[in-house]
Amino acid sequence: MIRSWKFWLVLAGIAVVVGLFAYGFTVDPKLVQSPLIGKPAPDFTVTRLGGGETLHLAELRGTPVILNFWASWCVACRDEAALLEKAHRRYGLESGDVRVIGIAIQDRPEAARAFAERYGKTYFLALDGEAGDIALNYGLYGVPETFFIDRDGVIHHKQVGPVTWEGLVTQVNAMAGQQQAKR
Amino acid sequence: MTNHIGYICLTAALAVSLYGVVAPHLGVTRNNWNLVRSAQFATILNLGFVFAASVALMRAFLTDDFSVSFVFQNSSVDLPVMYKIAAFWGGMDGSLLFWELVLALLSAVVAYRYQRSNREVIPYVIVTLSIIHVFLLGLLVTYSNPLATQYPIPDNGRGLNPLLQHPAMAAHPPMLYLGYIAFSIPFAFAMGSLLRGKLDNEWVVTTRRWTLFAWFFLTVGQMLGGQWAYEELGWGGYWAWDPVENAAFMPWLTGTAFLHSVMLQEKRNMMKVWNMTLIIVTFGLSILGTFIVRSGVLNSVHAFAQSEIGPAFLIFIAIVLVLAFTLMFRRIKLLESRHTADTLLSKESTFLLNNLLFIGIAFTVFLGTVFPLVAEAVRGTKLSVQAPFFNTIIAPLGIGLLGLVGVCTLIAWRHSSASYLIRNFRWPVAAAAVVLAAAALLGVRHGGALTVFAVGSFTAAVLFMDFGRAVAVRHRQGGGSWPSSAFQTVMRNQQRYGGMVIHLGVVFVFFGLSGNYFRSEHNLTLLPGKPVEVAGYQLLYKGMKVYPEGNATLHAAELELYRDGEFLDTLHPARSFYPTTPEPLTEVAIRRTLAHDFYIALASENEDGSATLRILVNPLVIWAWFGFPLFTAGIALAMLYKPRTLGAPAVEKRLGLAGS
Amino acid sequence: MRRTTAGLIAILACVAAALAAGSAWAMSEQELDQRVLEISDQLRCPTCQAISVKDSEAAFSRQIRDKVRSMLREGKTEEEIRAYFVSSYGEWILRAPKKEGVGLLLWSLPFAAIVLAGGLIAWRLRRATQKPRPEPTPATPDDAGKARIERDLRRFERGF
Repeated sequence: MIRSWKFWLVLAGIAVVVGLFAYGFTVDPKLVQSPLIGKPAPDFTVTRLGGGETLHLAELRGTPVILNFWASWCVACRDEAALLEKAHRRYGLESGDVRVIGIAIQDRPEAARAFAERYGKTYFLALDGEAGDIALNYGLYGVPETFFIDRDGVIHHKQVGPVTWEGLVTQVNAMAGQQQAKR
Repeated sequence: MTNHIGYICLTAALAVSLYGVVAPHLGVTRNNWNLVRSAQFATILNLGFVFAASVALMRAFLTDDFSVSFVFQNSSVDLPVMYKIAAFWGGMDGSLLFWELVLALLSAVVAYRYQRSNREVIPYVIVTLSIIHVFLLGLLVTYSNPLATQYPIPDNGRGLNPLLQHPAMAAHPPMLYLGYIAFSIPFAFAMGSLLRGKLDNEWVVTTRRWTLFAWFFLTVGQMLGGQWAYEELGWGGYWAWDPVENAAFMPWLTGTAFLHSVMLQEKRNMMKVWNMTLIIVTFGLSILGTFIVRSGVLNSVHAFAQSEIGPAFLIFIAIVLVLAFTLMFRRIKLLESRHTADTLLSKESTFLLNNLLFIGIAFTVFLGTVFPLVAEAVRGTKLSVQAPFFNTIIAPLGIGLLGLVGVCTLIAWRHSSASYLIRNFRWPVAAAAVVLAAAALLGVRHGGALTVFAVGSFTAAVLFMDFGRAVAVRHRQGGGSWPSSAFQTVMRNQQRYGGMVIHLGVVFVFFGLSGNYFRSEHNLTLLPGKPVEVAGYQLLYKGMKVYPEGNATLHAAELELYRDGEFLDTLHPARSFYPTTPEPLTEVAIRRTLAHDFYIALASENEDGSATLRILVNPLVIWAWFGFPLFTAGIALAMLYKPRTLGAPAVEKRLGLAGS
Repeated sequence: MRRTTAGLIAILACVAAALAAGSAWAMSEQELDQRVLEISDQLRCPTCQAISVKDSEAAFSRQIRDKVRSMLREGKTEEEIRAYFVSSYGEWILRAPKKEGVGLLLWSLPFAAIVLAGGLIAWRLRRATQKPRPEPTPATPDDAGKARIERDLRRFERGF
């Protein structure tokens, strides 16, 4: 048995480094946790894509909001468009449980409208300004990103990357509290 | 068909390598040299099999055989031939095969070249190398098979990332790998010595040239990477402290420390434990480097999808390090020397300080690279550690090393008196003061840059003075012309003057790096026909040219550069649009002079016909590239030096024994 | 006489203060550009790997630079601008951790380790050089050593 304390120190060092990298396998290096979770959602006012009504986020207090950031140039946004539309029809239009909003970033109105038409998005869509204030306020670092805002205007959860149907249902249920969302 | 044969060859190579792990040890314990000989032959067999598999893969690339998944993922029909070849090491599987091929070649060379001179140790050297082969081939045969086929066979491949279609990028991986792999040889000899219990300086002396060879290629590989980043990525820098860059830098740092430290073992029989530790750490870091680059654990430029390879590498690293250090500590009594440095003012202690600084820098790089992971483990949220941290900590350490070169060259072995030092440092310090004054007069104000100039000139002056003195002595004693005296001086002590040339290259590199302290940046929007003044130049934007080049469409801005009304050059910063990538690639335009690089990137073409440019004036960049020819010349010189070894042939000659 | 001097000084002081305040407000475009570059260099480009907002041409980076510029025009300080980005992105957006908490460990560890190691080496060196070293006695092999020498000699003679 090697008595030298230096040996055991070296071994401990190796164990720490290996353990650290092994831990690294369990986390996604690209995923950055948002500091906004549990904080009030940054307010904004936008005009509907194609003209018409304006929407002020603060006025939606009392209803949970699914705030989806997307873009016409975003490939991953194509598949999730159908899911968001489905959520809008099922939980938004029918029962008014939830409001689905989509904001296109770094995009042009024509391209955004074409995308919406092509992939069937009929819920409230708007464009972020040229300066990208809304995107920066929400700490966006890619699209798609979806924020789930509860009745009190607090951000409950953030989904980075495209949403899944199960994810949507889970969040809607969580925000609805006692009410059961219909599947 | 060939692909399947290639795969079978890999499996055969694995079997042969397993034999190579077991046979030499059996040969030694059973006193049967034939077993050892068979293991030597096994390294040749291994090389043959691996070479055959490599040929199969290269054939698949050159014939556009997209039934091979790896070829499909990394090549395409319209890829130029040079890049089809480079695509071999363009992905994980192919790089592993390349690694294995080079290691197999070096192992075969080592197995035969040193069978006489290192007779006792060579069986265990073969064992160590075979263990590495088993690991690599094990991966190649299971998770990482480059010859895996797919069905149905697609018509065309995904192509090589256009960013990688650059000569420096094609050469960068093989250069780096050669460096990493060559460090396996001193490591294998170190392990061989530990396993055999033969702990004199033989292994250090034998592997000297391998260490130099490895150092050279690691250095060149990193310089090529930097050049590529500078010219291709277009952000104006050449080193971003990205985890992948750090992964290559760390073994370079400990390898350089090792390279110097073994000189002390050769000359003064000191630092044996240091050297053993350094080579184990260098080897470990080179494998860790591959792990970081390929496993996806750390977010970086090279980030690949997290694959199963990662855990395999991590386990291998753990096992190797634990075994190696266990071996070392069991034999530590044989390693600890009674010699230490005699005083603080001696060459020996500068070597100690050298080790300390290099290891300190390596530790800093390691800390900064893994810290985001540590922070996440502790706090749950992510942190970034980028250039500001690394530059702040490492710059002073680097400058310290730069000065240390000068001090170490002058200081004597064992003991130097303070008065001796002061006398000899007079001229170099004076030279430093002169350069400092000149730089200040020329307008350089930044403290960091001035420090580098001063310290660098001091060191360069010491180097020239040292050389000049030796030549003067030879000239006085031997007569003859100055050039012949100079030549003789160099040839009589190739190691010392090879080192001097390399250190001079280091001074140039530092001068080149110091330009980062006083670069300037300008963002301009230019309308066609309206000249703009920037950094003492006048720029005239003539218009945008759009044309196809290869598989891309180029949008090139035509710019005319003037100084004081005199026309200098036409530059074409461009953006190239590839069909496969949505974002265009930047093609920067650089006008290089000794004083600075005038670096232009086309940021955007605007609707009103203007062009927005990002212009960087990067002082002294070209000086850093001057290091490359100096490194080459210096290493060549140093490699010529043949240390006197007391190996078996010499002993036999002395005893009058017939050659066996 | 004293009152006039005092009055003059007071007026001069006011003028100086006004000028200073005025120059702080009216930052020239060049100075503004410079400050934008400085602050952008401290933020990492969120969509790139190792480079800063300053060096990146990505869309998010351009927007961040513009935001920094408009915040500077509003009179916000560097600290406030950094705090804003940290509040939406997290500390991850800073290129180097703040020198507090876990970050302090990072910043202090390298030099601390080098100084510690250097001190240890210097101390051991001193002890070794100050202690009178005994004359190294020539090593005589013990029985096990002798047996090994015999064994190796026999092997050597056999032409191994």
